[in-house]
Amino acid sequence: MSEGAPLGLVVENLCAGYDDTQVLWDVSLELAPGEIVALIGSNGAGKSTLLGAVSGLVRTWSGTARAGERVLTGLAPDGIVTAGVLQVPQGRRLFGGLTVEENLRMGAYLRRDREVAADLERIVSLLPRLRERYDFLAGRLSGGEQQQVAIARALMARPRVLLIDEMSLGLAPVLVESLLGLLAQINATGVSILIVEQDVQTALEVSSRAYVLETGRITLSGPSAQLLDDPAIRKAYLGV
Amino acid sequence: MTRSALKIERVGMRFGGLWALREVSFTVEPGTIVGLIGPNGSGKTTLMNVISGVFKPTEGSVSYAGRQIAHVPTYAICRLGIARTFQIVKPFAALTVRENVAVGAMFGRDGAKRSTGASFARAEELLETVGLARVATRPASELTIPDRKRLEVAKALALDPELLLLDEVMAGLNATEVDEALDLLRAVHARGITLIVVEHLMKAIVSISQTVVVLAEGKKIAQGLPAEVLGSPAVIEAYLGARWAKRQKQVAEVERERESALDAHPPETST
Amino acid sequence: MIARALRGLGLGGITGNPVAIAVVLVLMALLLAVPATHNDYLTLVFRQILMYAAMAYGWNLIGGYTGYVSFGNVTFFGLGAYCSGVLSTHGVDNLFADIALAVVVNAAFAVLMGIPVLRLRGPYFGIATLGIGVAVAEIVANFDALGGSSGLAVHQVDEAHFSIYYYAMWLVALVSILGTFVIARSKLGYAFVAIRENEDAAAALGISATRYKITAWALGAMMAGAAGAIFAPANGFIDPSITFATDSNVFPIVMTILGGIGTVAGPFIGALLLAGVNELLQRYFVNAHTLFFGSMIVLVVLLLPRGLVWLFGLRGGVRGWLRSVAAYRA
Repeated sequence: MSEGAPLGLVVENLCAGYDDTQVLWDVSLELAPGEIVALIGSNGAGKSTLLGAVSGLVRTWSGTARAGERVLTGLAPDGIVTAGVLQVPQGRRLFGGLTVEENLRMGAYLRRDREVAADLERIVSLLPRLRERYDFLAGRLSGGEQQQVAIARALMARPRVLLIDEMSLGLAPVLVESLLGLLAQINATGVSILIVEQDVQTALEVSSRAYVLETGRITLSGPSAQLLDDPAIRKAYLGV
Repeated sequence: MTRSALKIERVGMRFGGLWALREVSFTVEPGTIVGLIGPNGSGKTTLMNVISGVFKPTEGSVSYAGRQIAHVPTYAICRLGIARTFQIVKPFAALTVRENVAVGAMFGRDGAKRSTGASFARAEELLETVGLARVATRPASELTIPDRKRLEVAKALALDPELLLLDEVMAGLNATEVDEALDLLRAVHARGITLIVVEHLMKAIVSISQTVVVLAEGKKIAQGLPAEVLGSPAVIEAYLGARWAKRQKQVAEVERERESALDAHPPETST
Repeated sequence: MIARALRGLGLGGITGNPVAIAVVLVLMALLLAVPATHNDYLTLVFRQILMYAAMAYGWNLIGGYTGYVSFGNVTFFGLGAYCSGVLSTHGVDNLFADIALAVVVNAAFAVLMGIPVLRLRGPYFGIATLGIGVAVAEIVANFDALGGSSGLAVHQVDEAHFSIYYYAMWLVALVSILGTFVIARSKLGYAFVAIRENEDAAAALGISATRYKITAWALGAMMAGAAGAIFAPANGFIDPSITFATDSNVFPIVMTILGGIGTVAGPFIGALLLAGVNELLQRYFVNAHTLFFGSMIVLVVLLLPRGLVWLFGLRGGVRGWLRSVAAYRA
C-alpha cells in the first residue's frame, strides 16, 4: 500500500505547545525507513502533542520534523498528508454520520490518481469485517471496528509513514492483538510506523525500538526488547 | 469554620451506553489533602463535575456535612462551602483581574452579606495571597498561563470555601512554577481548607497529598498513602497496562526462583 | 485627567468610559431645550432619537451586558404601543397609565418567554427571539379587538400640550441611562457580565444564570415597552407594520454596537449618530437608509466590534485599536 521506497521520520529538538503553555521540550527521535518505533509515556506526557506537531495540527515553536529529505515543519496539515505522513488520531475521529465506505473514500480525498477504487478493494479484503459493515454508519460500529476503519482510512491516502495515537484505548486485549497483526502486515508493505501508546506491552511488542516521553521530554530510549524489562519505565509513569 | 466530610457513596455516571464512573466510594476527611489520579479516561474530571453539580449522578450519592448534594445545581454548590477550579481555565476576559475575583466574593457563600465595595476589598486581599496583586487592574485576558491558574484559585477562594476541588491546576507549568503552585496550595491548606487535587504530575501528587485515590476506567482501584498506592500492582497495571504488569510479575517470579535456587545451592567458590 | 477624577467618583469599570458618560449627560441636558425652539421637525427628530435610545438601552442589557443577542426586542416596543392603544380604545388617555401598563405587561411577558427561551444559547436564542417577534406581530394582526392589520387610532393630546410626549420620552431615556448606570455598578451588572464572559464559570461562582438572564431581559423589556407606550399616542396611530417593524428591531442593535456595547454611554451615542445621519439621508436620499444601515453593520462588525466608547477608552492610538480588533477577532 505504500508508494515508492520506504520513508523515515526524523524529529530534531522539537519544542511545541498550546498558546503560552510549552508541552514539548527539545524532543528528538528517529524512525528509520520501514521501521516500527514506539513512543510511550503516561498521560499528560505530551505524546499526542508530538504527533500533532508532526502532522501540522499543533504549532511547532522550534525544532524540525522531516520525512526523508522533506521538511514537514511549517507545512499545512494537508501538505503533510501529501508528503505521505498520515495520522490515525486518538479516539479514532471517524465521520460518525458517514458510512464506512464514505469514511474510507474520505481518506483518499487528496488523491488525484485513478487507483482509489483498487485500493479500496485491496484494503477491504485485508479487513473482511469492514466489507460486512460497508454501508453501516461509522458511528454505530464497535470500538474495534472503528479502529479498523480509522487505520483503513489512513491507508487510503497511501501513507509512507503512519502515526498511530493510542490505538489500544478502550479495546479488549484480543482486539488489540489482531490490530497489532494488521500493523505488522502494513509494515511489511514498506510503511514506517510510529506507534504512540500508554499501554507498554502493546507498544513494545510490535516495535523494534522505543522512546519514553516524560512530561515533555524523552527520558529513555532503546531496543524494545531491552526496555520491556527496564524498571526505569515504571518510574517514568509513576514517579516512583 | 465548621469542618465537614465529603462522602462519595457508590457513585455511578452514565453517558449513553458508557459508564464513566461506576461504584466509586470514598470519604474525604475535613482538613486533609486528597490526591485524585488515574490514567486517561479514568473519570477524574467526571467525578469533579459530579461533586460540583455539573452532572447529576446516575447512581449513588454525594453528601457533604451530612447533606445530600448530588442534586444541587451548580450555582448553589458554592453556598454549601464547596468551590472548584477548572482544568481549562475560565477567566472573565473582559473584566480586570480584581473584578474577576470580586465576582466570586459577591456571589459566593458569604456574598449576600457583602457590598460591591467590600467584595473588591476582599478581592484585593486574595490577590495578595495568590501573588496577583501586581496585575490587579489588568484585563484577565492579558495574563500568562501561570497567572491564569493563580486567578482560578483566587476566584475559588473568593467563595469562602471549606472544600476546594483543584482540577489539573499544574498542567502546563514548568518545574519552578509547579513548586510555586504547591507552595500556594500548602498555604491554602494551612487556612484549614480541605483540598482535592486532580493531577497528572505524579511528583506533585506525591509531594502534597496525604491520601491518594486512584481511578481507572471509572472505578476506584486504590486508596491510601501516596508511596503505597503508586507502588501497588493494581495501579501499575492501570497505568502501564495489564499485560506488561503480568509480564513484570512473571519476570520477578523467575528472578526469585533463581535466587532461592542459588541460596539453596551456592556455587562452589574457588579457594 | 478628567477621566481620573470621574473614576474617583466610581465611574469606569463595566460602566464604560466615564468621560463618555459625562458627555451623554450633558447632551441630555441640552436636549431638554429642544421643544422650546418650537420647531416641530426638530422636536420630532430628537423625540425619535430618544425613543431609539431607550430601545437601545433595553437591548444593551440583554445583548450587550449579558451577551444574549436578542432579535426580538421589538416585541416589547410593539406590546408597549398596543398597551396604549388598548387603553385608548377603552377611553383611558392617561400617559402615565399607558407607561405603567406597558412596563408591567412587558416585564411579565419577558419573564414568561424568558423561562423557556433563555435556556437556549447563542444563535438559537437569537432565532427563537426572532420567531417570537414574528409570532406576536402576526397574532396582533389577526386580532380584531386590537384593530387587526388596519391598526388602531390612539388618542392624542392637543397641539398645545404636544410637547408632553417629548418630555415623557426624554424621561424614559434618562431613566434608561441612569438605570443602566446603577445596574452596571451593582452586583447585578457584574452578574450579567460574568454570564456573558463565561456562563459556566459564572455558575461555579454562585450566579444563577437563569435568574439573572431573565432579569436582564425583563428590565430591558420595560425600557423598550415604555418607549412604545409613548410612541403610540405621539404618533396617533399604530398598526402591526409600524410597531413591529424590522427597523425598530435592528436599529437599536446596530446603535448599541456602534456606540459601545455593554456600556452606559454607548446606546445613546449610537442612537444619536445613527438616527441623526439616517434623518439626514432620508431628506436627500429617500431609500438609501437601508443601504446605509447594512453598510454600518458590516463596518462596525469588522472595525469596531465593541463600539466607539470602547475605542475611546483605548490607550495606544491606532495601533492599540488594531490590536484590540485582532484580539477580539481571535
